[in-house]
Amino acid sequence: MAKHFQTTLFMILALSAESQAQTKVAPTPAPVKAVECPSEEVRLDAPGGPLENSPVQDQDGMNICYANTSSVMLQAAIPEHPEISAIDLSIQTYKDNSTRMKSGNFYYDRTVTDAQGKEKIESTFFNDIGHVSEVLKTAKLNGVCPRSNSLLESGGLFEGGYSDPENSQSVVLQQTAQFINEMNSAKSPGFKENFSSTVPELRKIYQKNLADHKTMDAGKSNNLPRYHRSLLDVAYPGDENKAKRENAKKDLDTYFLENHKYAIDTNQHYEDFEFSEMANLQKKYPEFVEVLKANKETSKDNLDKDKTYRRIMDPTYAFWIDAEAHLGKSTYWKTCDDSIKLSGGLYNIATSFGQVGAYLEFENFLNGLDHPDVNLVLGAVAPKCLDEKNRIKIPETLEFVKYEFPDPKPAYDKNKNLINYDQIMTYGRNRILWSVKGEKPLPVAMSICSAIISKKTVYNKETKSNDPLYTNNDPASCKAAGGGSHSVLVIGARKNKKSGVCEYLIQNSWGAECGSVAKRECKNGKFWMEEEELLLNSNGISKVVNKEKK
Amino acid sequence: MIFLLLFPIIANAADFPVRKFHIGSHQYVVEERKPNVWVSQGCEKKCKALVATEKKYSPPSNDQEGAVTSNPGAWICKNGAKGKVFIAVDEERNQLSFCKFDDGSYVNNGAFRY
Repeated sequence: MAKHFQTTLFMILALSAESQAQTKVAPTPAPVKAVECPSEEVRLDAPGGPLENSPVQDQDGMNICYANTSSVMLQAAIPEHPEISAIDLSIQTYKDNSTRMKSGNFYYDRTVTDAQGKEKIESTFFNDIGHVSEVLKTAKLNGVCPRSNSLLESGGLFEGGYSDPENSQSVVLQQTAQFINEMNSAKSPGFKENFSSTVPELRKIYQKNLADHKTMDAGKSNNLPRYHRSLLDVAYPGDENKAKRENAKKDLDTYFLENHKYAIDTNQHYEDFEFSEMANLQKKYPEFVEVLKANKETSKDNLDKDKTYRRIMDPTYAFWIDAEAHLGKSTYWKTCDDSIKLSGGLYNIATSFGQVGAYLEFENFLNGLDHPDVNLVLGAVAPKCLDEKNRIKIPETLEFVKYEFPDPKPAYDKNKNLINYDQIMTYGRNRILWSVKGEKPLPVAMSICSAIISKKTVYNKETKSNDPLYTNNDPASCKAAGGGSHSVLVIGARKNKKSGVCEYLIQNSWGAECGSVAKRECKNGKFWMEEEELLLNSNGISKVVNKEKK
Repeated sequence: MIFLLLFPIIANAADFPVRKFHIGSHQYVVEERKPNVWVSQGCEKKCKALVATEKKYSPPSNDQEGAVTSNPGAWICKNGAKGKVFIAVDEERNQLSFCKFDDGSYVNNGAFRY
């Protein structure tokens, strides 16, 4: 790769000679010497290092790599190195940013380009997509929250016993934001206060529904839903099939009830397991299964209509129904029902709340109700972070520095200095090693093309060969490689003893695993990457520096 | 005799490396059935989590929201494998997201091929 660039460089130099002769060119500065790559492995997560206690994060389906990365950079830079909540950072970043959020709406519209090059508007969750620099700016303003105070990240959110632990961070945040949207779209005076006073009642309803669900006795009733009964009548019609039909109803009752119990044990919902054991049913009741399959297109609709059965199977659904009925009894809710019909009425509010209730403890949610803005989200998932006493102030002396990479193709910058491959390597290496191997070692954040993580080469249609992946994190090149702009950390460096190549230890935010990583030395989500593939797929280095006077 | 009785259990236990994760007090135990494929303990050959890892999925595309800059495995779980993502932490508080299926089995999201 280096030779390729040198050849191209000479060609461009020759072609550029004429134009240079016509322009006054500042003398090329003396080349900066590259820092020596450490022969012995350096890593900031080693015992005694600033990231000794820095767990690997998983950003799930959210585009908050910027917040994950920033949280670790701040951890390393702050005295005592406390773990920092990335969720809080992502929420704080946009709390006061009116350009990102419509008033009262926790989604915002952004313009994206589709595969055909057409622009389209896409709704994005409020804390998705950002930049490390924005996080650092707001962190100095609002302080940061220790990760232990973030229930969502520490797992404490689900300790109450009646919320579902198996929901991704993105689902929890999205459902909460949806509910806030519902609340904010209901303009009736006193809405918030009345809703707040109703919450304890709703909580009781939810607990009762859950208790009913858990204590359901298989022997109590014949629970086969009407929809399935009707299909059994089709599969085994007439008097001649009566015995078989009745037996099937008994067996299927048991079958559904067993699945119901399974659903309780695994915290799953009604729809999830409905047809999960079709093969077993097929053996005993092939005719029924055939009829069931023939009606598959409409089966879910029919099941939805079968409310009685669904109430038993799904406590969240039962809550929606009961909560709506409860709200409907209240004088306040009756009077304001008309005015909130535009937002879908009480049912929508009860539904949204029910969904949130499936993921969050109501007490936490109540903490947020005093903050009918984005802080409600924070109050729901990390209530302690709302209290300034629980936030850590960022030292004023910490500053954020960003180094934009020049394009690795030989070119001249605005000062007519030649930027070339060797300079890129030197520029990149020095800025990484000055930080990672500095007197007070700190990690650096790299803006990279995400494709380089999972692949090392890209197929070249013209040469019909696999070329090293080189995107410079340029949007078009990166998109062509199947990636997008991503943020990772460099937390270590070493010279490979076999190849002599300088390598960097990358900490990503895709979880403590190596399945997404191309063939590289990798453990628990941290992997070693060669200098060239890292720097030629990057367009910037960011770091936090301490400007404290010595 | 005791050795003979214990041997199969020990041998079986040593078959796959095991990792433990939790969400609050809920514990999740996974075995590494293949390199980088961590499946819920007790998952049989045809459990949905294992079957899902045998397929090859369309890669996350730039034209789909959150596809390429979020965790690609979590995206595939939701959009390709039609599972449900959940995040658990290990004893050192490292996070790892899993994909759970309707038969109760689950697998790490990095196990999906694309």
